[in-house]
Amino acid sequence: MTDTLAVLLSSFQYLLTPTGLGWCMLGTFIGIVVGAIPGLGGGMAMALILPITFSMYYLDGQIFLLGIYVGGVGGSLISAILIGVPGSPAAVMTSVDGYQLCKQGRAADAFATGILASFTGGMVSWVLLLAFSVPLASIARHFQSFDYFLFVMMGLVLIGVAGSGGMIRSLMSGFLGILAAMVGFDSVSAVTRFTFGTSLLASGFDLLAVLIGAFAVQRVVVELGVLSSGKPLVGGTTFRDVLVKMRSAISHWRTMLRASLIGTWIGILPGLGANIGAIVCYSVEKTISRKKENYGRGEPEALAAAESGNNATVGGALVPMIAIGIPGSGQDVILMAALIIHNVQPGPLLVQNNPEVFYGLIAAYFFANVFLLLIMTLSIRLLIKVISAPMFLLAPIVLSICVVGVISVNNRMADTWIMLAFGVIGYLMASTRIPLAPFVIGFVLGPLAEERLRSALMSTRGDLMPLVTSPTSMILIAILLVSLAIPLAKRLRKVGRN
Amino acid sequence: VLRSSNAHSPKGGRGRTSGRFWSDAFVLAGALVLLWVSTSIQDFGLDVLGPAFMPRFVLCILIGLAGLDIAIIWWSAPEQKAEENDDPEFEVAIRPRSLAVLGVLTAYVAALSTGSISFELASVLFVILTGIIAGARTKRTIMLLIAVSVVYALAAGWIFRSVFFVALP
Repeated sequence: MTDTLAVLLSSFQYLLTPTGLGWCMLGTFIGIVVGAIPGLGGGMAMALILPITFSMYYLDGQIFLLGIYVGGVGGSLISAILIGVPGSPAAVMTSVDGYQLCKQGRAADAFATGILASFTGGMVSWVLLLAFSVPLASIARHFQSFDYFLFVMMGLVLIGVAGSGGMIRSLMSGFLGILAAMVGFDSVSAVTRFTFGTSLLASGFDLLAVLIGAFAVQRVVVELGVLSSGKPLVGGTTFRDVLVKMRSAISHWRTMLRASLIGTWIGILPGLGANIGAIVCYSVEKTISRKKENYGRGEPEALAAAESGNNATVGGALVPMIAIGIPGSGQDVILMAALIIHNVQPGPLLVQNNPEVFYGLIAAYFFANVFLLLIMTLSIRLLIKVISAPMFLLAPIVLSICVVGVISVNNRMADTWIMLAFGVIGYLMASTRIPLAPFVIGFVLGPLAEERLRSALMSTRGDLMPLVTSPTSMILIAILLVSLAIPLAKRLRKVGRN
Repeated sequence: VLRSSNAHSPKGGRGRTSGRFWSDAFVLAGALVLLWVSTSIQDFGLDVLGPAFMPRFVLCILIGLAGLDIAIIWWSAPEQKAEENDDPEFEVAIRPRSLAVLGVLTAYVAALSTGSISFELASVLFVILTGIIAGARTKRTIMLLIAVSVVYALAAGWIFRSVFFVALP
């Protein structure tokens, strides 16, 4: 306990140095700006920044990326309120009541409530992250290799059951991700798989090229297809206006607290991102609210619920990532990738082997939320101007940086073709209703799951019994089967009825 | 009669269901081909499962999932398909502008890979062309685009070559 406190304090101390604070603040600022621009979003910015973090000290890279993650979710409320177009899917519910408030001339009210709710969501989930991640990691340390394999399978099934896009297609996406990761040399036997005799595929698909293609290129290409020409309704909201209205926004503290708790829980479940968190919190608050008839017509309470919910999912999603090594969302995959590239393995042993990363992430999350509150309140006027940035200037530069960023990692031109291919695959998946998040999660976790299963079988000399007889495995298999069977049975019954 | 004929067709409901059907069919066909390809994976008997087990396991699951989804699409009522199509998160369709940008991006990547033109020139051309596709139409916006593309290409070229030591053409 004393050791834990000491490491946590030293992490806070590192974050309080000019380097730590600087990366955290810069990351949060970039995240807010990119999150505010409709169509870009924090995930895309994280993928784009990822190559730059290779040359950085790994903890600085994590702090920087986490800042972008937090800023990206928070910043998306700006365009949602001003033009009714969410900066990212996380602010989809914010755009309902936020835009109505703006149309009524209450933009300052909307910003004050949104910013305060985002901060509350972040801080509540930070407390829970701090409380749950260490015990969960210590439990996870006792897991065997078979258990880890089942954990990955359970994670993919849960993404399928609860994620958007339908269970079957989400599962399909996850397994396609695992399949894509199998191309190239097999790590156990050094035999090549699915290379079709080409040397280009022998080393497999570079993780960074896949992430940049699937997140950044796909996102820009999709957005260019559906360009909107929204113009801000109110441009004159200032720091003082927001500060004055924050006093009345505090009256929604109960809603914020409730939504933050629900949002954190949703974040912990794999595959459910900030958008689902916002929708669920909004729906729950609407059900129990005394002002439910005002929801959708410009109700600050509704805005508070949506914003607390979506920001709280970020902290929630960090819990399984740092404690078990299972990413909760696409952005967590990028955080994980940044660690793996620096030979730091997220998971149960992270707290033991790299406590500075484990507690550094927890401390960085705290500071990123503080910066979110400060930057958004102080620079609201500037941020309102940012959303007017023309897409015809942003899109080509973002795409060009994607290409150069991918080349910069291995100094290899072939990676740009892989990036392009995964950009096209991501675009086709999006247009045929196959969700992308399970794909990248499967891509990252697939090789780990295979390695664990095969090494476990080596140690048991081919005996599969421990896979179904150990208490942890039995619990995981039971959850896996129930999670699969219930929605599938419902779906088939519905089809049969029709 | 109309309803039943719609229900037993991949195009029942709205057009997007057809996209779902064909993507499932593509996954199914691709998985079957890869399953056949997996027979050529060599196994030196280093471990119990071998290198071909996991690909086959995943491919079999994919075949099952794609087949199940095709069956569900085939037998779903039109109203149910319409309800599924109304999911706002999947308001994505293949658009000419997106395809045009992908075409220009492919040309940019090809130019850089072959090293036929310098990074700066390729980037200026790429930014201008993509910017025009993305909506720069007036003389003023095109002039702005040209200025930004030149500044960006020179700045990015210098930073990536001198700071990150990237071998750009």
